[in-house]
Amino acid sequence: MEKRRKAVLPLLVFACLLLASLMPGVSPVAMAAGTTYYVDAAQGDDNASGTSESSAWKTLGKVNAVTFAPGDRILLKAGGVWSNQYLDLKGSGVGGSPIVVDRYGSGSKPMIHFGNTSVNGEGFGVRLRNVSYWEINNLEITSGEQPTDMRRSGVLVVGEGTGAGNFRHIYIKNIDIHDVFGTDRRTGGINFHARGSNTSVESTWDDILIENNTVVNVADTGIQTMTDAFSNSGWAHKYDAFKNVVIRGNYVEKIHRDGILVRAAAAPLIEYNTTNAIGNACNVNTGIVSYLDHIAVVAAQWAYYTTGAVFQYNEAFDTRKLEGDGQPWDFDIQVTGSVYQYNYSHNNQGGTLLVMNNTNDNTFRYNISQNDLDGNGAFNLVNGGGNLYVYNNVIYRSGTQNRALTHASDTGMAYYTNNIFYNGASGQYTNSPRMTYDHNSFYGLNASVPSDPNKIVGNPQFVSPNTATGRATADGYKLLSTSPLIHAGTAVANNGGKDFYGNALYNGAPDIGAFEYPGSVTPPVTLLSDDFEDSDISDWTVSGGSWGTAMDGSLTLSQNTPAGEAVAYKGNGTWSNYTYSARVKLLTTYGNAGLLFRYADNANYYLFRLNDSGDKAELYKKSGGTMTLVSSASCVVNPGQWAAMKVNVAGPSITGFVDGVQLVQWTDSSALAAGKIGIRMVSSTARIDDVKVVQ
Amino acid sequence: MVRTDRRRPYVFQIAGLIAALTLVCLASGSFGSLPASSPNRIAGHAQPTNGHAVVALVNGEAVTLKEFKARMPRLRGEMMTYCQQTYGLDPNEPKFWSASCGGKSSLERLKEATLRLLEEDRIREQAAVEAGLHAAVGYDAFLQAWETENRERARRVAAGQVIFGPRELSESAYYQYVVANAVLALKQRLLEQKGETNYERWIDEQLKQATIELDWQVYEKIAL
Repeated sequence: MEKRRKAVLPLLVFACLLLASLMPGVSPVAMAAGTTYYVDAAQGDDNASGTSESSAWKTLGKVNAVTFAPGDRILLKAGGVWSNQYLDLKGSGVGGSPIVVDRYGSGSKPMIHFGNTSVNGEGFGVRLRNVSYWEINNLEITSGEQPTDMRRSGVLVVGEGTGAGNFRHIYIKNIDIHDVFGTDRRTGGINFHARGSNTSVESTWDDILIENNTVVNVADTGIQTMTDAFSNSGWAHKYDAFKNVVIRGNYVEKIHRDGILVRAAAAPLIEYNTTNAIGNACNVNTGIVSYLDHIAVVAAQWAYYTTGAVFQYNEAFDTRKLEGDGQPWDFDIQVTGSVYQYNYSHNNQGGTLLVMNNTNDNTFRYNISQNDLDGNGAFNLVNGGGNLYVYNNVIYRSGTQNRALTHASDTGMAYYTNNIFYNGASGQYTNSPRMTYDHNSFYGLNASVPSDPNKIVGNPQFVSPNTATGRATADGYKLLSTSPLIHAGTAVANNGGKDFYGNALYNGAPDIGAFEYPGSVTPPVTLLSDDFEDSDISDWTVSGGSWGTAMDGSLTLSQNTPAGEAVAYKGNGTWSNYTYSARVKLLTTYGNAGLLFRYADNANYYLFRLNDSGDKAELYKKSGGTMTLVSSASCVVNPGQWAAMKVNVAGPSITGFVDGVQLVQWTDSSALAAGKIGIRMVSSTARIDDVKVVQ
Repeated sequence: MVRTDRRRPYVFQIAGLIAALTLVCLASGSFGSLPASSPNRIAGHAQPTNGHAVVALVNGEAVTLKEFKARMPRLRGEMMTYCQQTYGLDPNEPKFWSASCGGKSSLERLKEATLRLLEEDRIREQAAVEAGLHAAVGYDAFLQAWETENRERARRVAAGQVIFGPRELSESAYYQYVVANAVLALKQRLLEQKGETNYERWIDEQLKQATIELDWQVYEKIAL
């Protein structure tokens, strides 16, 4: 029987290769034609051949006795339960022909309930020891609350002892791991470990995929890679024991220590994962499981001794602050050139981002933090850290948080650019020579504190903030079309190419925050720009006063008669929605000067002006000849000093800024439709420069 | 967080269940001992024999057969560990589920644990709605929300838009996700509205006070 089968097999392979070579465009691949083995917990028999459903094996012990060959498949019957058993797999596949564990039939995923079992004092559901080219799919793995103090892992991938070395292609997919409790931190749900002492052979892995698994109620760590290179001076791979690592689409919840922790990896990709309840969060009877480690600090999804890590499209919530930390995101020790982008965090006790010492050139961009809590500030930069780039994030706080919203280390530089800090709580901001701010938006308390030369203060006008709970999106943090933050940011090089919503960067000048306002607003067109350097004001229409140019640093528009109403206007009467900005230097004490917009004629216009009588910024509407003050705000006016004035008019909505701070916002239910721009003052003299109208 | 007394509550629940069952039987006479001429009747309505059959009503909200069978497999491991550790049963034996695990069959214990879990689900959903939170009540609503969630995620990914978390959530992962978020939101509301800091104790209280009506005929037929 055996002999006959062996003769047939090569013939079959030849036939397949022949067929494959005849197919157009298909080059023959020398696939090892492996054997498929079936395991049926209920009806199987270990004495059977195992090579058909009707002659299936019964126990996992039988599987463990076989050394498998490339292309082999081991299929466990759906609905089956293997109790006090485990898979300890032997043999290796080759490139193109991995060995695959999967299920057959329909029903629940095959369940491996490994109980209190152990091999050399440690327990596991599936172990891949010193092997390459394996794919493990579609199993349920649990051990329950076991009294024996030992290491336990759902899936253990280890290189150690004789046979340690360089391994390739380990794929762990669609495994449901739950209720596994191991002692010490080298245990947990899915656990890769290069083990040994300084004189042992060092193990490494290339091509790891951990995808679409669930890890629930597990100690110690949810998903991790680890190498003993950290304590072995003779080992070489502290930074790259793991290459081509992808950790994707996993759901990790109720974990004793860290959620997803990648150590010693070169350019790992961690994306589309969700973690929650991280840090001493197991639902477990400590009367039975009495050996769990005491935990001081955790973070949800982070890296260690790693370069070029990308964490994106992840969600993290309910990370616990125990004695410290408790952030969702963490650039930890010896992490460089890495990025957290397009992630969403909420309700994490320790704040939002931890940056440790001995880090450098890391980027935190296009993330949304919705009410992370107050165990630490939103950012915690430990002393001894390097350069950190924090841009286009939304930090939203609306509770009782009062810790700092920004932070710096005592070394390196932290650059905060284009972020939205929505301080609906009472947090403070840090200023330090080890940080810079540029083009950030600050709303709420202490907005005047951060030293940002191009800040915008005021309501960012989110569509509907604080609504991104339990949904796949954070659309609430998009900006309304009237937001002052559209086109108000500054370009950042190498920005990743898209915003939180997948919109291409940039649509005109960048927006502040995680959302780049897309195509329904056309890229900004400059309608008018006048810096007066050509000393020609013939295109301005003037009435009253005496208008000319004057040198004041550079050439400026100047009005020199401090009596009566003086008006100058320019532009196109059909202009409807635009942003009009100019620098204005009032020269008359107790005087006034400001911006005319939607100037239809002398009886119909809006005016946003500085008034030194009472230190005010005032918004007027003149309609049918009647002038009405519609809004005003306190504003320190210093005659003799330049003030940057800006007004945005969009539909019925008018917003006025002085020196980057939003001072007035008014909606006119019977708005003037359109009109030119200009300057107006009464009984005052003033200079104007850098007039710009942008649509 | 680590709980020190996980296993006890369901023992009390069985007692409570028996008490509630007895009360309801006495009161309505339509549960437990149904008239032989209408074996599938529940409160006057015909019981479908498919997944929509109602296993129990928790404050009037249904626990369906389909839902019961969806939640039960995940609890097998816990029950296997318990019956093995406490009564020395071997879960590999084909007769494990019908064997006596301390006076009740392992299957019976599994069903009781599943029922308690689903009672807690209904209570939590009802409490969330009462607290003004958005919550899908009942399994049909849950399944619809799950399908919508995955459809929306797929649509956004196909359009090059950003989502966070898995591109597709399995039914059990989505269940964990919904429950985790619901518990967090409910804890906060309880604190704000009632000054309640112990969520577990509060849920236990609600369970004790709940009106639970069990359709014994449907329930006893449930097998693995």
